[in-house]
Order: sequence, then C-alpha cells, then structure tokens
Amino acid sequence: MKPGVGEFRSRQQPITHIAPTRPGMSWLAWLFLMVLRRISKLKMARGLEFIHFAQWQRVRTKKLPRLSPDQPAENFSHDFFMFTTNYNGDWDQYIDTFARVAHIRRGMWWLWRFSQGFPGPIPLRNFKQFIHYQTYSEALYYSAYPAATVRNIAAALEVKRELEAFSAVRPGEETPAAFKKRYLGMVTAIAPNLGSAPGPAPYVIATSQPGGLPAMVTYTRNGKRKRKLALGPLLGRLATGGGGEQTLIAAMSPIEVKPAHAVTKEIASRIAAVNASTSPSPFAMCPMLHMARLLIIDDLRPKLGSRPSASLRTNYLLFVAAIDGRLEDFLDCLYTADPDFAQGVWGRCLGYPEGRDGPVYLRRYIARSLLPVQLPFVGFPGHSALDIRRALRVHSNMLDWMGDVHRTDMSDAELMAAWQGQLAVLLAGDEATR
Amino acid sequence: MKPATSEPFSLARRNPPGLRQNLSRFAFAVVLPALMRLLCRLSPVCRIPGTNLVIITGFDSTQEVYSRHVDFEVPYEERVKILRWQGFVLALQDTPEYHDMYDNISRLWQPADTTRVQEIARRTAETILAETWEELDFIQDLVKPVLMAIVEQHYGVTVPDEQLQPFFDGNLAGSGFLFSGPWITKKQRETGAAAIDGVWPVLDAAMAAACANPDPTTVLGRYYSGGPDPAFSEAKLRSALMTMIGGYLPTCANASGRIMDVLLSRKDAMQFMQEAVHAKQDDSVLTGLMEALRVNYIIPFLWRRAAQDTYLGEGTTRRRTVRKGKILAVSLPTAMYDRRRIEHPKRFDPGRSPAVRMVYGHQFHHCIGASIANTVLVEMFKAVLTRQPAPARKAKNRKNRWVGAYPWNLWLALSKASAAP
Repeated sequence: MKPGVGEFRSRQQPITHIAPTRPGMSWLAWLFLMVLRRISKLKMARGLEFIHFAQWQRVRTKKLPRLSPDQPAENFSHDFFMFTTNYNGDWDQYIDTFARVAHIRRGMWWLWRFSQGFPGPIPLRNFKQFIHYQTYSEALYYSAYPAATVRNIAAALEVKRELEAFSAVRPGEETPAAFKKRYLGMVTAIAPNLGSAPGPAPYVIATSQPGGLPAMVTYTRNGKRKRKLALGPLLGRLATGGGGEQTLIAAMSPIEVKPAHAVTKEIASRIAAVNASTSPSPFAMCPMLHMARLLIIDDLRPKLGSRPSASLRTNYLLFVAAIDGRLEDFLDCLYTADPDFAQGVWGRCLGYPEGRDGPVYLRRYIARSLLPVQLPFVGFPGHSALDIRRALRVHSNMLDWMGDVHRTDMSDAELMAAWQGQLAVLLAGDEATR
Repeated sequence: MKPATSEPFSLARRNPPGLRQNLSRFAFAVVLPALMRLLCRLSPVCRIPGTNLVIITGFDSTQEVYSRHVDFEVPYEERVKILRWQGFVLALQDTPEYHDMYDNISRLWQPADTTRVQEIARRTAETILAETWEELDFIQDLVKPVLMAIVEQHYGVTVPDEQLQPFFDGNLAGSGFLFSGPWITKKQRETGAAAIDGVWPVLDAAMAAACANPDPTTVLGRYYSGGPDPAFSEAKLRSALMTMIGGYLPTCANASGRIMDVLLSRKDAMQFMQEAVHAKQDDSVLTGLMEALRVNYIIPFLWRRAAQDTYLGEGTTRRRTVRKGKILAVSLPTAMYDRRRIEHPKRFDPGRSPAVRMVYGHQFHHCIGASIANTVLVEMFKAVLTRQPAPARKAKNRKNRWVGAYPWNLWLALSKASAAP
C-alpha cells in the first residue's frame, strides 16, 4: 500500500517521488529529459491508459527558490530527480507495470538510472522499496474528475464526439427510417465505449468560475465561431512544461527556516482543513484545473540505506498542478475563489510580501517559486478539464438513455420523436443539469 | 465662446464641434493609447523626469497600486471641495468616514433594488424602441432616458424638464472634472463649479419633496418614511445620493457609448452579443459588455498619490522607488492591454479570464455601484440588440459626435422588428 494516499476520495492516486541524483549525473539527467521531450511523444505512457499526468524534472538544490534574505542556501552535494504522476488503480499494479512490461521497463531504467540507489526495475522487490522509500506524502490532492479513470475519459470523449456528429443533422431533414438506420450505426459505434463508465462520484465538484462564466467558445475576427479548448498558449518559459494545451507546473515555496516549525504546522493544518471539509475545495472553483497537489517537504531523503550528507535548512511547500491555459488565470481564479486559503497557505511562506493581499502577490510569488519541468506528459492533450467533465456527463446521460428510454420494440417514428425530445438533455454536459 | 452665466449648463455648447474637438478626440482615442501601450512595453512604471508624475501602465503594477490603498491614496480632495461634494466614497481614504459612508450607501441600496432597476430599465428601453422605426440616437434617445428613468423612478429624484439637460450634463461634467487629473486650471475650476450648480438644486428639491411626501418605493422615500436616524443625517444622505447618481449617470452613459462603438466596429463582438441575447443568456451578455469595456475603457487615467516614501514591485526582484507626494497616473485601459498578462489584448474574447477585466477598479476602491451598472447595461443592450443595430445609413446628416471624453450622438439603424440573428 502506498503511504499517504488513502485519504483522498478519488479513483486516481498521486505519486510524488524525489530521489537524489548520482554525483556528476545531474546535467546528464537534465539533458536526457530535454532530449526525450524533443524526440518522444511518450507513446508508451499513453499506451498504458492509466496515467493522467506525469512530469519528470531535475531539481537543482543550489537553485531552490530563495525568496527571502533570511533563507539560507541549501548545501546538498547533489541534485534531485523528481517524478510526479497520478494514475488509476493499485499502487502495486502500477509499479509492477513499470517492471514487467519490457519497453516500459527500458524506459524506467533510462529515466531513473541517474538516481542514486536505483536498483533497476528487476528485482521487483528492490524497485518497489526504492519507489516507496523516496515517495513523499501529499497533504492535499485534488482532481477535477475524481471518479473517472483514463479509460473512462477516453470512452466519454469518444461517445460525446459520436453523439455530436450524430445530432448535427437537423430535425426534419430525414425520414424516421433513415434516422433509425443512422441511430443504429451510432449505437453500434459507441457501444464498446458505453461500458466504460466512471464509478459513483466521491464528491460533487462545482463548475462555476467566480466572477464570470466558464465560456469556452470564442469568436474570430471574421465572425466565425470556433471551439476554444484552452484560454491561451503554454507559458513560454522553461519553468513550466506542457503537452498539448495544458500546462504542468511545480512550484516550491520556502515556508520557514528550520528548526522553527510553527508556521509549517499552521499551513499543514490549513491544508488539512480544506481536505477534511465537506464544502468544495477552493481548487474546485477553478474550472481550468485538472489536478493539483500540495506537499510539505521538511527534508529530502538520501539514498536508501545511507546517511544523509546534508539536510534541508528550510521547510518547503511543493505545489504541483495541471491546468488549461495560463498559470496567471488559474492563480487569479484560485485567489478569487478563496483569498483566505491563498493567504493562509502561500501568504505565510517566506518571502511573501508581508501584510499584502491581492492576486498580484500570489502570481508574483508562485512565478518566483517555479521549478523547471523538463519532461511533461498529458494523458488527454487538447481537452480542457471542462471538456472532460462535460464528456463524462454526456456519457452518463447516454447510459441513462439506453437504460431508461431506448426500447427495441419502438417504431422508427417513436424512436425519432423520443430522441429529439431528449436530445437537449443528452447533450447537456453542464453539471448544473444533473 | 464663453457661455453667459445665466444660461443653463450645457456640455455640448461648451464643446462645440469643430477642429479642436476632432483633434482632441484623435489625441485621446488614438495617440494617447498608442503612446501608453508603447510605454507599457518599455517601462510599466515610468517616472517622468523633472515632474512629480509616475505613469503606471503595467497590469501587475496597476493591481499593486490599487491593492495598496494606504500607501497610494486618492488625490481628489480639492476637486471634491470645488464640487461641494463631501463624503464621496471614491475620494475618501481608508478612514472611519469612508466606512461610515460606505455603510450608509449600502443601507440605501438593498439587494431587491436590482430587480426594480432591471424592470425600470427594461420597460423604458422597450417603450422607446417600440416607438422607434428606423434610426435612433443611441445616447440621447435611449441611454439618457433610461438612465434618467432610474434616477426618477428608483431614486425618487424628479427632474423638471427645463432642468433635465443641465442636470444630466452637470453630472457628466462634474465626473469629468473630478477624474481629469491632479492639476486644476482656472477654466476647469469654473467648469466644475458651473456644472455642479445644475445638480445640487435638483437633489435638494427632491429631498425636500420626499421629506414632505415620502414614497416608500423610492430610495429617498425609504429614507424619509423610516423616520429620523441620528447615525445617518440628511447631510450624509445628500452626499450618498450624489455619490449614487453622480457615480452612476456619467459612467453608464460613457460606458454604453463605448460598448456600442466596439460592437459596431467589430463583427465578432456584435455576433457574440446578438447570439447571447437570442439565447437569453444574461451572464453571457454581461461578459460581452465587460469585454467590450476592456477593449474600449471609459477613462484614460485614474490618479493616486504616494502617501509616503515607498516602492512598487513588492514580491519581485525589481523595485521602483516612489517618493512621498508623487502623483501616480494609473492607465487602466493600458493595463488591460498589457501583453505580459493578457493574451491577444486587442481581440474581443469573452472567453478570457474575468480577472483581467478591471473595469470596475480593483480591491479597495472597487465600484460600489457595479451591480446597478451591470443591470442597466444588460437591459439596455438586450433591448437594442434585438433590433439588429448597425451604423446609421443616413449618417451624412446625423453625425456621430463625441463631447470631450463622452460619446454624445451615436446614430444606429435598427431593423423594424426583433429578429433572431
């Protein structure tokens, strides 16, 4: 059982793995990740069909964010290699896949060969011990679609696409017989995907964006409608990485210089309160967010079985997120959704302008805390969080239709009338229509 | 030509059409925005050497200035005195007086009032449009009557016909005078005083009438029918009433014209708005209006004064010192075009994050009347957009005209009946 994830009511599990790099191998690790980013689309990860997001990055200990003159520099003799992901299913199965599938095993071997203490994927027991030991517990994990697995999402997107194509024909343009022929074709096409349905939602997620509508339709200058999947291009900095139109970020903010621990405890309890609360988390108010996690890092572990050569002089708050569009838009939305949360978490960190409140300070602070992401992986590039949630809703509506309305003894005209009567409900992807 | 003092105040007469007006319009609509955007790229916090002026054009810097209202105070005291307008919330610092006045206005304005204002705006706009066949002066024939209907029917301020123009113009000129900059010329002082002379008597007469015969459906009537309140004196009511009307009339009139200007000049914007109206999505209509206002904002600068020696750029590695007493010219329209924060700023994109639209200000001095302005704008535009507005075909005889910063005549050609887009 992976430690520290059981408390999240989600079918997705996060892993945050931070291992020390081998002496002299840090830049090789960086180079390898950068080359891989250029030459590979990480098809092997996509082929596994259980990884939503993943990012690999080299963390330079000398370049850890120092945002206050009071904060001492860290004195590690090596850097760290950070791997963060979220996946469906059981932790053991997940790690087993790394070791047992030949091409994945080769990939894992290459990715971790620059890390100290990496025993190789085989023998499996040592490999699991390596992963387990260097994995850090999340204080908070949020997913925009906690009940859905990767396969559920792929199926839902496919069903939605088929349904939209099918319903593009206007009523009155075809006879009932022609309609039924097309209908049966559509049902046959989506049937394999209908079986892949999410489990019961662990909790309700709000979709509204404070202060505005989550409009995803934009208009070009010549007046043609176009579907807008993301609010903007990827941030053009090395500090973030992205695949498709999503942006993956990792920000490490210094909390306080050790041995002081009071502020760290306060932040931890603030995060825990959000985790335990039955009301929607502030992250749930940000429609552009796919997933987010917060970790409090009070030390970085050395190679398994060895004594630490150094320890962190400062406690850090690690924030990892996958968002659509611009980081600034997300931070503004988060701040608007719950200013107290933003102030109570990042506002207490070292270097945050004292006594200042406003989204501008959060944006500036996170921008200074960003760690470069060298290799990002996105399970559904080009699909926004809202799109995915709508597709899951349409998938569920279609299941209801098949179970409650559709009958084989319906005449062509009855079927057509029933379909047209239910079409608006079927294609309603807004959670408000539940 | 200097108007005779006996004549009622008229903004249009003081700003006659001609070369001077055209040059002024060109300078404010074209040259100044271009210069400010260039400055935003080069130096978002720019201290002008040899002057007391710091020009703020960056999005982040603007938000920083607004969020630090104690360090950067509002410098409108002298102008408020000239207008005899004590207790104007936007001109008050973060003092007990400010919070007292804010609470008073909040007491006068009740949540259910939005529905009432919405009804008045809709009824008035629809009546006007039902009587209009082909062409309409959007500002004078629709915006002005709708705004004045709310002043009369909701606030309870009846404006006699002969005082209507001086009252409306006086509000616009008073607002223009208030926000026009840190330095006051003699002519500005005279204009401000003359403008406000057309406003206060109307408000005083309305208060006297409401006191004698309070109508509980109006704001004034509500105050007087509640009996005397020592914590909320008549003097405070006078100031609060002026704040509500003087804050709402000019900004809504200005905003309406600018929004329509954007819709007429951008096909995509007009299409979005018409589809939103057709789909009866008021939220989308409002988003479109706010986006149009971001594209064409109502005022070139808002002003602040450094209350102490400080710096801008908190939370960054680049700090810009600002000495005590420096005047900060905050260019909100330029900030909302800052490419560092806003992607494709010239594009009309209602899907962009609402956080980039600071049309009602930001944080402490965020507009107190935002909800009424939103309601009125949505109702007016919903009504007019059902009639497929387009630039007037008879425009050679009916020229669009701007008076100072205000759109004054904006002729529209309308379809004969409401139709789906």
